Amino acid sequence: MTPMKNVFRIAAVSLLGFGSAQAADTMVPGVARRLTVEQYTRVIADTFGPTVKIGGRFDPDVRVDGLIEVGAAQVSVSSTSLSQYDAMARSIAAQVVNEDNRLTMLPCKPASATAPDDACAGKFLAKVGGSLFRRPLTPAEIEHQVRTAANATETVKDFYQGLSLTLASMLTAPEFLFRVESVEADPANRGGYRLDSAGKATRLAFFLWNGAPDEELLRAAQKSELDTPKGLEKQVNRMMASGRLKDGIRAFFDDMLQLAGMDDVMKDGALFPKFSSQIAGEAREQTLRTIVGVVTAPKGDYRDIFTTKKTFLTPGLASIYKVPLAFDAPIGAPDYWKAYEFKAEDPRAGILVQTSFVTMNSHPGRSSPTLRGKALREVLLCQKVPAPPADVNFTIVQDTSNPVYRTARDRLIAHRTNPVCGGCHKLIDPMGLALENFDGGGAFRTTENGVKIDTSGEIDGVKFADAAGLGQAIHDNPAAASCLVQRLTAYGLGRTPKKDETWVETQKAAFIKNNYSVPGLMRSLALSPEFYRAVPNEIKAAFNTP
Amino acid sequence: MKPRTRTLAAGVRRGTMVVAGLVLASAATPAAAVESKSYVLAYFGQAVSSKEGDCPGGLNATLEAQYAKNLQALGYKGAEVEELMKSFGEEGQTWDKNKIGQVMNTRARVNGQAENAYAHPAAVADANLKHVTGTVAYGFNLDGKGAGDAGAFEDPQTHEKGIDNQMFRALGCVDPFRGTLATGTAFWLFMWMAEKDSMPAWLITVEGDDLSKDGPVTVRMSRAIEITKFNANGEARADMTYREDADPRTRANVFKGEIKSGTLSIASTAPLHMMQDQLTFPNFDLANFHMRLTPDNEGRLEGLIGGYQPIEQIYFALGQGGLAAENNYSPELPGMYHLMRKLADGPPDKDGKIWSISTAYHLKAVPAFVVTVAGAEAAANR
Repeated sequence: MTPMKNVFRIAAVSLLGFGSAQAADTMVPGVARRLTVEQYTRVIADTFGPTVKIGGRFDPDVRVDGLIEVGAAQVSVSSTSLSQYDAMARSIAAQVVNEDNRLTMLPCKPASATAPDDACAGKFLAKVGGSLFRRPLTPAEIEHQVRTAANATETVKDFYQGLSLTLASMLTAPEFLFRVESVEADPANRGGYRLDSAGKATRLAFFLWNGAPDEELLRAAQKSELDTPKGLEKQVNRMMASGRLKDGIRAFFDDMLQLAGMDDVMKDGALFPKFSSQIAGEAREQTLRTIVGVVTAPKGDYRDIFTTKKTFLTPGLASIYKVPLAFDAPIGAPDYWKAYEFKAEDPRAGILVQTSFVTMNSHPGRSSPTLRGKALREVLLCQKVPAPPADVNFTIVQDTSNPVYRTARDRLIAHRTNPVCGGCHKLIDPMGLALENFDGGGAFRTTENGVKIDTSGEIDGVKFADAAGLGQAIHDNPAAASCLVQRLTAYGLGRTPKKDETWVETQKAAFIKNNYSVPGLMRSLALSPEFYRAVPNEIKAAFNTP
Repeated sequence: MKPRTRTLAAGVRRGTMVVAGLVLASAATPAAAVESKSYVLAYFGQAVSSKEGDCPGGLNATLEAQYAKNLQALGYKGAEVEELMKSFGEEGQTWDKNKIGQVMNTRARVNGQAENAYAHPAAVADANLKHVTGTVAYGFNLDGKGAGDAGAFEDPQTHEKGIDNQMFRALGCVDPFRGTLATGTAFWLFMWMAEKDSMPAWLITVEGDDLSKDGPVTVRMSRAIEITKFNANGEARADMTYREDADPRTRANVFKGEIKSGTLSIASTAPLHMMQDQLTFPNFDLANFHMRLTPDNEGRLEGLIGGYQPIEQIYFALGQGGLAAENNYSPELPGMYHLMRKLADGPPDKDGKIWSISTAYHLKAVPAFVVTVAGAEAAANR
């Protein structure tokens, strides 16, 4: 069974098995993506407010073709993780109806606290159900949930507890845990499928805002306005003008640059004492703020993220960068962010030399030109670097105190004499070595073991002298822009576009013509009919049709 | 381990320093410096160099033995002493049952009346505690007598003779005040741990024509608005930015100094006035301010400051905890006061009385940026 087929089966079976049989009768699932940890958290916060705490362990997100959003379309909910989702759901539901919150979170008060109140329960469940399932509940669904709440209330003799049990069941329903983008026959493409209105609304909202559709988008979907170019454009323009667009841009780049990896970065405290989990979080945020600042600026050019001197800093990050950053805040105030522009003579420019990239692509005790070069190729240029053979001897590379090979360049040259290793290292090392002025903790250095570091290199025939030159070379490399389009398209679709999907090439050309504008590309994708088309083979596979 | 040394300006970016120096110079010093480098305090404690046998006949008696002596000095007889001492060190006892504590707490006599011993240490009978008789101590030749200063110490680092450090001599036979520069002492480590996360950071800014070379410099000590930031491993974090406190009380500490063989030194006749932690030194004054700081290969400074410090300031740090503090770390707080008064060697007042004592403190500092509150980053210094 293919992964996609598996997903459709899971989604379909889940829909039938979790108390929403009425919905499953009328809905054809298209792409089902499991909510990422961030999306789960965001939907809960959007629905119940930020005070509701989420306790529990999520299944790890899976990255496929460089993106968690693609992986999310290929994962299911295991029995183990379902028990975790269940525990989280019960905890959330209990918080919503507890004595402190019920007055503000419930829209009504029951006639009796010990007996069913269908009117009050229905009002609450319809409201939160729409938010959790990212679509209005059908009358049959509301009736089903109200009946469930009433039964539970009669059993436990407590209206709030009964409501809590029903809410918990909704929080473990596949319509909540999965973003189900349902499909319908595509009138413009005979024999093909496209997302239906609800599916479009879900795709648009998560693509542009990384969140659930708002009431206006749901309304437009209900009125089938998203099925007309004019109606779709109206909603896309509205969403592009919203402040929430930055949430969508952040989510995409967080995924593309694999910044969640900062959560796992560990450093040797003796070698890199400034580094901490707090700094790791701030470094991730710095990169996202830098990118959002560049790409949302008027005439913002995506490629400038590799060369910009502008960024945002906290006091802790400023200490790593060894630049002054004073705040006008009282003693004890939490650290906060301040816009900062590196001076012309400062070696820092672009995201490649930010703490996030150089620490994440390093080892706990040393830098790694190889990891950095590999990340540059794979993450930013969408090129595949083969995995190293299983029997590679890394002794020389790891020996940072080797008296003969005193710099990383020296050690890698020695390592590359092994022809098995040489091929790949020639591809990645010249790029990674350009970043050797930045140690494993993100600090600038000019020497290693007392020897001046040589940061010269080349990429695809373009030579450079240092990290700034590397940034400029990536900026100018056509593969960088092409990769961005490829990743953003896959991010929106939940799958990597196939080579024969020529419309993606059209998007690339438009992206370049539009001054490499990321919001422009998002808009262009969101207005493209192909963006909502389901791939026929996968739909057939999902339903076991020949 | 002796810190590795390097020139003071190693790693400094000159372009930044030119701007920074000029801005600070215009604010505080008449001469226009062309290079400036700032540091934040990373450790503060008494500079000690205790050695086996430097206290005649061993250290001072335990508190229990001292209290028994004190009772006898107060006129208590054998059986009474025995009875009172029964309550000494009893775990979990309430104040009304702490008979020895009550007597010791009010053993001062002012006009024949019992008074708080810790608020009136001079009114407590001198316990005649022992003091250091060794010949080695960190510090400075404050009185200028040098090798001819009979009874003065020799510095174990510079081997300079005529070192004045009577504070070390006075306190050095009490166990919590003994240690080495590397280990520190229990008392001062405890105080540093308590104050480091609460006191506004101390800042040191050095300005000169070229800090990589020997030559004259200007050193400014001031106080920050912020508290020193520490790494997870407990060390002060380098390269953080601090705002200089505009409070005029700590903005006059500008001294002429020099860099020689990488070591920054000050030998001034002017006073230093800083404010520190409320429970240690709310005011910290050193007359004849001296400094000796050496950079290591990471650009961090370590060394000494010294001068004549008012005894009441030192006694406040020791005695503000009263009976509880005495029970924690001292055989006799008023006795330590008496010792410092007897060994005081600062400038006499008009009546010929001496109220200050020669001291030396151990400092560590890490590179930092210092900005004035107004002008912020434009006035950045390193």
